[in-house]
Amino acid sequence: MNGRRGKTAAKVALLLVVGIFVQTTFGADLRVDNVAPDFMLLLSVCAGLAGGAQAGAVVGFAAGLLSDLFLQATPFGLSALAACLAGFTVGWARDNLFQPRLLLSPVVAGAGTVVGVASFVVVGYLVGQAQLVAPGKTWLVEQAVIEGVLSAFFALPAVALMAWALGASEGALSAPGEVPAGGLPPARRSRAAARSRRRRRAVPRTTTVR
Amino acid sequence: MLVVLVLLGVSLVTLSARSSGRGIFDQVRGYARDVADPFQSAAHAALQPVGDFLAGALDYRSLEQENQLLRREVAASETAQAQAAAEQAQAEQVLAQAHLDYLGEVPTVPAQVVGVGSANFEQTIEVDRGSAEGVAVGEPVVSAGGLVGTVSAVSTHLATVTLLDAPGFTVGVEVVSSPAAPSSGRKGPSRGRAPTSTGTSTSTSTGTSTPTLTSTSTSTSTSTSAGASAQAGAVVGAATGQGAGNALSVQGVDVGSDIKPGDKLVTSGLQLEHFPAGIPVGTVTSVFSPPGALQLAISMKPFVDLDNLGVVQVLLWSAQSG
Repeated sequence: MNGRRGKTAAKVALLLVVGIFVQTTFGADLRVDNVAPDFMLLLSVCAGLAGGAQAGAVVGFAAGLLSDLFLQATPFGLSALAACLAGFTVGWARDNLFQPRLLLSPVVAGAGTVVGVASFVVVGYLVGQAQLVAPGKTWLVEQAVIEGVLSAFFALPAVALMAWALGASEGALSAPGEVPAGGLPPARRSRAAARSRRRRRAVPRTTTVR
Repeated sequence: MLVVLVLLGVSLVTLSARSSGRGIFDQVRGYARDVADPFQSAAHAALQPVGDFLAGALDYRSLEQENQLLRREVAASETAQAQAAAEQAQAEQVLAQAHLDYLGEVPTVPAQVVGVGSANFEQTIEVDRGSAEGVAVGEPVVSAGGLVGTVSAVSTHLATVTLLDAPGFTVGVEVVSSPAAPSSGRKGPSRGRAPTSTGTSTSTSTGTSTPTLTSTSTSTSTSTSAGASAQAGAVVGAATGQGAGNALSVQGVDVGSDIKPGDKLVTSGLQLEHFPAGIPVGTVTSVFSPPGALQLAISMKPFVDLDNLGVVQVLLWSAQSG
């Protein structure tokens, strides 16, 4: 068990290190309307999507700390807080609101990124970083939406990589109609069982008379 | 687990905010930059074709238009030999960046831009000069066109420069095209201590074009430089960045001030400023007087093309030492 956890941690760490290098080397080249994608926030959201709330929170915190190493204008730890909250939120939603499906990943990744950007701005403003809101609401909304769209664009490979890093048995994404390899999370397991019982009661028993 | 992580995050943010530029977190960031730089350079060299391809794909239409524009300009240059020679000479002066008049006697360190920040709430570049070359946090950075930004972080051989259009970046400016503006004989900043000036702001709304900020300058400079602070009667304000691609906002200019679109703005060098006076900043693009407001809503565009920086100059200047 410890060996498996260590292996998972090593794979996630490798993925995050590769992510920060991709972000800092050609992240700026991928700007759309002066907005660059945030790969570390995307990986945090994908961790929540692939591994649940706890995975999203822990991976998000680590990814945010790596991002903070290369930022200057904001306090150390701000990106960690924002990515942790975004990863946890997506993971909680995955555990309680919907079944994770591969084709839904871009939408969820985009929405999760918007949550992450909003968390960054709100928490940053609360700790005195007024420059985050200085350009105005329109600019902020534009930033969040474009970052969300960029995350949606890169979501599928990111989710696949994060699912690999976290291990398929921890609740990887399923294609439509499939049950995930690790089975459904507890909340959905009970709902699925209730649906199954209702279906059994609705279907009349047929008997064959010979 | 979430509670633990949130508490840890809040602790980190609080400690980092309190240390404000001198604490262990900034040292850690500096070490991280120094360690990562060789790998980033190698990765950037290897991945640049991919990045260029993606950037080209995203900006294909603008690149195509720019290509057509460049073809027209080349055709015009070929038929005007004398104009082309003059433009070439001017381009060499710009590239050399050795004798920028507005720098005066301030020592400079030339630096190559080696990276562009990819964070969306910071507009930064990285240059290949650091503390080993005498660069320090807070020093202004300029190029041939004018002000680029200020050094915000330094490691041994690298420095991060926050650009002029970053949210929250503020620089005191004054108009040089108004009648009461400083004369063109200003030589720029001096080696001596930065002059101190006290200003009192009085608001006038007579509708005439009279400057509304009066200042008395007490210069402690030991240099013979012509000008080192805002002249009495000059129109002054504070230009603030509004994010990449957005015009800067100039605040603090009262209604009735003599300022109009097309006016040139330079650093004012007033008390507590982190920039010497006289560095070109930008051009006023719009002046609007909101109904009932006491101050004008002014936008300005920087002289420098912040998206295409190659070589810059770091001014070894601070407000305390000059």
